[in-house]
Amino acid sequence: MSEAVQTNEAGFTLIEVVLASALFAFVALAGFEVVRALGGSSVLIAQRARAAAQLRVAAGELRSAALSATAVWQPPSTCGDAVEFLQRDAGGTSFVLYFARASALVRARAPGPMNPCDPALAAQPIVATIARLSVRRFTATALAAHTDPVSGNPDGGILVPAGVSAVSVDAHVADIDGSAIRTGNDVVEVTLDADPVRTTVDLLAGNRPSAYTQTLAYACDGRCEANGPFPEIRNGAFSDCAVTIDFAQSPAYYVPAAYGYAPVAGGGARIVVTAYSVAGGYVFAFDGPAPVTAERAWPPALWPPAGSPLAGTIADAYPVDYAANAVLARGPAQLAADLGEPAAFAAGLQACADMHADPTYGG
Amino acid sequence: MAERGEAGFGLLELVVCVGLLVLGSVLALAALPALVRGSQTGVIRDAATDVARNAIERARAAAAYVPPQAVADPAARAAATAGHAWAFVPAAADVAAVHLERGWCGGSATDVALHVATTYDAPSDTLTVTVAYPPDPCLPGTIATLALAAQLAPPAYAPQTALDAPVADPAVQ
Repeated sequence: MSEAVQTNEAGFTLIEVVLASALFAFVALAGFEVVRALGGSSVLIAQRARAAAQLRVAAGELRSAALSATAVWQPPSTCGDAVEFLQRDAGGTSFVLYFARASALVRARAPGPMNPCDPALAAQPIVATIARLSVRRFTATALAAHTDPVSGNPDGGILVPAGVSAVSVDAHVADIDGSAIRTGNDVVEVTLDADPVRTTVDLLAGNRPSAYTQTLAYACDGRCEANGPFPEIRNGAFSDCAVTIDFAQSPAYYVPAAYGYAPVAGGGARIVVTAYSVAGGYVFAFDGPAPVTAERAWPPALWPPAGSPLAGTIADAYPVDYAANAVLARGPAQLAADLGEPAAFAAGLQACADMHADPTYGG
Repeated sequence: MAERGEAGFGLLELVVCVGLLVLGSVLALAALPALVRGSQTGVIRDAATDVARNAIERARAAAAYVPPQAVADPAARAAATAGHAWAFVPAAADVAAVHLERGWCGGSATDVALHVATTYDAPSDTLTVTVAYPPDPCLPGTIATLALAAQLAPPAYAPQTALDAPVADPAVQ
């Protein structure tokens, strides 16, 4: 190095080295903080993502269990809320229980109802950490007044309260306390308090009961009144009315009991019925728990009652066919009145008369 | 004599380089909260989905059984069981919420409002629940929506409902 050393070859001055070191230290620290923050955040994100995924899985499992369940209910428990499912399928009857144990949401399965407080109950974790499991049950009729579990605002406005029917029937299985497990359209609301989010799942049993009663009513084309005026046929399912009388035409029920002759203009006379008797009966048949044939009969009755005045004119109400010298039949309304029966009696008679007058009726 | 390329960085170059590094670090730190929030947008979306599914489930429960009085008349039975108009009004709205255990914009646990609109279309017998939710609660004005539609199953007769079923008179068969 025979020539003078130039500045650039002389190295950094002390002040330059100090400044550079300080800047490097500052940058290194900042970089370290960034890496540390990123690392911490990634751990937190991973934890939250894992917890959220577990909550997703739990919610999915609960909904799936309800879909295949015959009953969903909150079993009796002294160690915190729980929700249980009764499932019946080709494999038989089984029970699935979700409950909290050691800050975890766990699931147990057994062929019979389970006690969530039983420490020996084998269960597998579904969500590793939850703060609380709470379960509420709503009847269907209460859903119109349901409130959002977080905001507290009513959320049943879409429902018509009068149109909602609550069903709760015995599932014919006893719970651990001996009470009957019931099934229907109750809603069980399960809330999982956990990080990062509180999750609420509303559950409805997918296999709901329907055991309505259908009454096969041979209703005489709807013209006979099953629960009409006859006490013997109330609560029975009407199947047929077997009346073989044409009430409108047959004189069989109307037998002149007394008659005489009244003079008419020109020296002639006409028959005047002063009284007639009515008698008869009819049969109604009914199906039901106790099939019965009810026969309704009435004894002969004299009408009009003795002592009643008779007008004796051709315009009077007595049913006389003067041409045939016979008594005309009276209609059901008059007959009911004759017998002192209520108007419904006449309606029943009229219905049966109509039925048998119907050419489409084969009876 | 040494070439310029062999002379190393000058102080100015070093300062500029360090400044750029510092700026990058600061930007990365500033972006962290947004990154964290962005990674959890799905949490609120899932919660909104739960709100919609719960609304549909409650509606299914309420409309599971046709009211016995609506089917007492055999002539009116077909109309009563054709849909669920007896159970639903055409439209309703409410405000639900999701509870987050950690503050998203700093702070502690917080509730995020979800606006729910429910409609029932009688001709198609379809219930639709639409939920408007903020994907990032820290960014006011950003709203996303999701909608779930369910075609309802035919209603069942409630147990012990007594139905008269007129049948042809056996005598004419």
